[in-house]
Amino acid sequence: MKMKISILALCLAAGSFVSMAQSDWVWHQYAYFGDSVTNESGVWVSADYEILSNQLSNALVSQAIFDGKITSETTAGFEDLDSEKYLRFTAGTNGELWARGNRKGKWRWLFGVGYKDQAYVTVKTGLAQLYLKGNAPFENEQLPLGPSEIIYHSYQYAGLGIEHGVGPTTWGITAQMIKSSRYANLLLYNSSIFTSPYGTSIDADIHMRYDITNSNQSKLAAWYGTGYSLNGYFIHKPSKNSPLISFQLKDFGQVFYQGMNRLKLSDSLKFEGVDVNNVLQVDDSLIGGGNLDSLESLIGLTSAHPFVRASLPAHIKVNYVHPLGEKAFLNLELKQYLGFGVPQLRAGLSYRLASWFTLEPCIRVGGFSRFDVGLTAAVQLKQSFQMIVKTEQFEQLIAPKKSTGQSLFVGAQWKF
Amino acid sequence: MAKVALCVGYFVTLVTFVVIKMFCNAMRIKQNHWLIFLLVLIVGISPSCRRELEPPEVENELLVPILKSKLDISKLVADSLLSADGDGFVSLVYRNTLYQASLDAFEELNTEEFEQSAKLQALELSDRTVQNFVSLGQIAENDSVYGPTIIALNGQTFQIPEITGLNFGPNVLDGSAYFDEMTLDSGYMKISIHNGFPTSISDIDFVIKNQGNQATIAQESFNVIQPGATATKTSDLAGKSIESYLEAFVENFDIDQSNGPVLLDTSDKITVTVTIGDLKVYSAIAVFPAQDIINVSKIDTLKNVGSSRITKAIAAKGFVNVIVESTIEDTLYFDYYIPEGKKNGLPFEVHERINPAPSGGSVYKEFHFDVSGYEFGMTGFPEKDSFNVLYSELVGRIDSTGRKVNITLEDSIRVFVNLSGFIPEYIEGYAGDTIINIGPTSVPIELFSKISSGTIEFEKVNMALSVSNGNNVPIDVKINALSASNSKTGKNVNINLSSIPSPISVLGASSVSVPWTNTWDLENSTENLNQVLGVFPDRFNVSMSVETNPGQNTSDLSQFGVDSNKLEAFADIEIPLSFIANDLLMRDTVSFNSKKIQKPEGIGSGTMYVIAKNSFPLTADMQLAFITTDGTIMQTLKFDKKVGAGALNAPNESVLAWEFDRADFDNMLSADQVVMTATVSAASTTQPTKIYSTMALDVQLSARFNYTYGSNE
Repeated sequence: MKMKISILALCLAAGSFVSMAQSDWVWHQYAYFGDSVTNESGVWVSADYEILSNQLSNALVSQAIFDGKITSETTAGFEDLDSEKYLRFTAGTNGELWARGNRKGKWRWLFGVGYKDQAYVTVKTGLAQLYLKGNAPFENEQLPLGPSEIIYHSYQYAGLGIEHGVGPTTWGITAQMIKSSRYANLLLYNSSIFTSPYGTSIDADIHMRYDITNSNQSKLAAWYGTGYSLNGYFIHKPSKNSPLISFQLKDFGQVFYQGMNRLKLSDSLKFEGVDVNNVLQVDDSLIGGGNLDSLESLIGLTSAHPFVRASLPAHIKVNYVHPLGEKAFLNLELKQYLGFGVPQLRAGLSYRLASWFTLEPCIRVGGFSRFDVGLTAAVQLKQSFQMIVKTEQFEQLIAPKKSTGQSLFVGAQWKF
Repeated sequence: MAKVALCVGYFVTLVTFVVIKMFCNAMRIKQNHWLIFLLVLIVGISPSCRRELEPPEVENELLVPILKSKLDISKLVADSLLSADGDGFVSLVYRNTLYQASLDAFEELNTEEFEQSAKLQALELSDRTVQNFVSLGQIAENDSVYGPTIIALNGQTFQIPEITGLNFGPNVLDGSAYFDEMTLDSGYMKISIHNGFPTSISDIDFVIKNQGNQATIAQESFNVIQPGATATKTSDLAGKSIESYLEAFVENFDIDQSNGPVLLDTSDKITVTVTIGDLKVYSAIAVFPAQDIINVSKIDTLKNVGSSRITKAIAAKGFVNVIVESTIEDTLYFDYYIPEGKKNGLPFEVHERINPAPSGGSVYKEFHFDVSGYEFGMTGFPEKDSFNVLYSELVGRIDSTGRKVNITLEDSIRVFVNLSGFIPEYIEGYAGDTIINIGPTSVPIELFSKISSGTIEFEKVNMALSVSNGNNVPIDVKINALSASNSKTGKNVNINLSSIPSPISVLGASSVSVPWTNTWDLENSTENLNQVLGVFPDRFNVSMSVETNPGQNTSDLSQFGVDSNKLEAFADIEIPLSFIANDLLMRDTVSFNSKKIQKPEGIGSGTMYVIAKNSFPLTADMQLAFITTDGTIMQTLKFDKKVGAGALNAPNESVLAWEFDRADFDNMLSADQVVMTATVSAASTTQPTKIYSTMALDVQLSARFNYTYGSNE
């Protein structure tokens, strides 16, 4: 017993984690342990990381994160992708802890803290190709760069909420106060770049806006923006062994920034090289002043420090748990971000091998990824302590160059 | 910052633990503190454990333009050397100066220093007059015999008896306001006596003496002076030393008996008037009136004129130097005039002053007057019938200050005057006759400075000798030899001058702004000149002689010369750009300051492209060599193909490529100079290729290279 608790503690301390919403524990305990008791007080904690993409391979991501350098071998073939299609990518870590009181009547209090540190990338593949391959492979081609958007949030929050449960239906709402330590948003409107044959000219039509906070301080110490978020959920389970359906709206809110660092550009540029009056008399100022990085300086960026109101990456999630006998459950989850991204569908089949141990193979398609397979392991002690580990890291270990997603989730709850 | 983050993390953990514990207490929740603490700790510190991710480096490949340029014939050859006809067909027009010089007359001309010394020629003092009188009443008062009677009968008629042996004086004559003492070289004293008595006076003896030493200055006797009459006697003062206070005595005079009764008026008087005049002082301490004390005029001859006969000259630079030594104890003013020296219509004149010399000593002073810009007549004054001379006048004077000063005729003044550093900018007259032999000497040619080797044959080459003479001086120019050579290859080709006269007669210019010019064409010279140009000469070698005034007509004083106007001889070459050329090696070196290049650290290997759109009917094989200052070749760029020949309005596009790696790039950046070499050949080896002004070579330089973006190497 003590050994199991120790193992559980170590698992909690290892790695970084993905969030589990306030209502997730309800369908989790039902799907993995057939546990329908929900009126006890308790604490749940979860953390996760995910790196998902529909086109960026796990090998490339690993190079970027761990090697600090993306090699041309890793990006080989990337120039052959359809530039007009969208490349999606998300990466980040989340963690939260929520405590709930006993629900002896209809109501109970909720209290929690947590953090989010995640980037969301929805860009034209052409933009990613330009970044990863340069413009040379796209000689004599019009390379689309937008519309594209990259959003990055890093914040911590504390929240309070209430939950109401009567019979088969439970609903709850929490409000979080947010302390933002980092924010960045790159927005490219319709933009493109064309490189003439032999590089005689580069024509760029760029319309972009780039907001970014400072990064002088560490994430925990920095407080560059203040905001709020609202989470709401609705759970319906008609009877003890009936299917369960849960609806959640999460991260609905805004963060406010004073004096955001903003760069803006809206211009059509044509660069044909430095115009030399007489190449036979190239003087010091030309040769001496040569700077290939000056391509960036030719772009007339304007800067400002405006007030910015940034929306959070709100999403809705629907979970459906259907019992298949006493030990098996079909688990379906549909997730969609509001305003961007494509729907993500997760399907798993959990089977309780023992009263305290459940396994669930699962697949995930859509969202920011393509197709991922994973495995969930869940353990339970005395029906008061439950821990769940979900991993989608097999592809990354087996075929890193072909796979494009990985994640790890660890959640635990203690009921008392 | 990591420590701060960790501390903040633990603080959050502690606060969260306390809040949860309070919440649990409020909710009466069973507590397992260690588990709660562990969970809270994990949530609390995990934000501070997350690593700040840096953007990764990315290996990609860039294709960027670097520079573009357009080369037409005006960029290859200076505009001043080009000429195009109506069709745009280009000719090279090149003028090379073979000789240029100004006249020898513009050497430094000076005058001998002249010294003028003089003692004071004369010192004058002003005339002075003093008047004194004695009345009948004063005489009556001093005569005990008849005096009381005269006084008592004042206003009545009375026959005045003869009164003898009378006298009066001394009356003091005060000249202290004008002098303290003086010794006269000459002068006079005039004594006038007016008889105001009603009867005649006679046997009048008059004496004037110095009050101090009682020396007699003047002594005169008058026989008789009728009533109402004036008698005058003049004494010579030459050699007399006179004090400022004099005493005048009438030592004796008699009053004659009146002719019957006369009206007695005791106020009737005898008036004595003493006048000194025409005083020329030998020495004096006196108030001297203004007077010239030195006045000289002189004619000086110019030196270094050679055979020139200068009648007029305008000074480019020069100085009149005046040195004065004086023993005169009064302020000396001197004026120096050059009547024939004028600037803006005003004559050259100098007015200066010398302070008084100390007693027993002398004063010395130098003056230098800039005469630049002055026009000097050099024919003499007042008779202007000479040449190479300069006339000047010097006057020295003292002014009346009202102050007594000590001056004697022993005092002197010495003046030294000369003209130095005089270099004319303009002369008139006869410019002299000289023969100057020039050379053999070399003058550089820039026309082929960038061509090292190869062959070129022009369809036609024209050459002429031109002479320009900016001065009105006839000159004969004889060109003994003219050739062109290449100092690197040592090749030398003589130029055939048989079609031009020898010597060349150069006439004088008609005015200072319009030079005389003439041109002599070298006829039928294309073959010879092609041989000349075929060695790509970098210098002309010339040997010649220049003779001014070959006729030596020294009576011709109408010539003029200006120092900025020159005699110049040119070789004029006109080359229509219609030629057959093969493997012309053109080379140019430019400096290359790689230290200023902010080296993009992430550059790896790649390919450099030169995209050339060529409408010149010439092919070019190009190469760039990056070298250090000591000539070490660091890197050579040799492209894979030539720039193809185009045609007028039909450019040919060529893409030249050169592959490089990182080491090549580093080698280029370590160089100090770039040597650009092009081997140029005409499209046709049989028919001449014509160059038009509208032809051009559009060049673009671009590069495709591997680049590691975000490199902080």
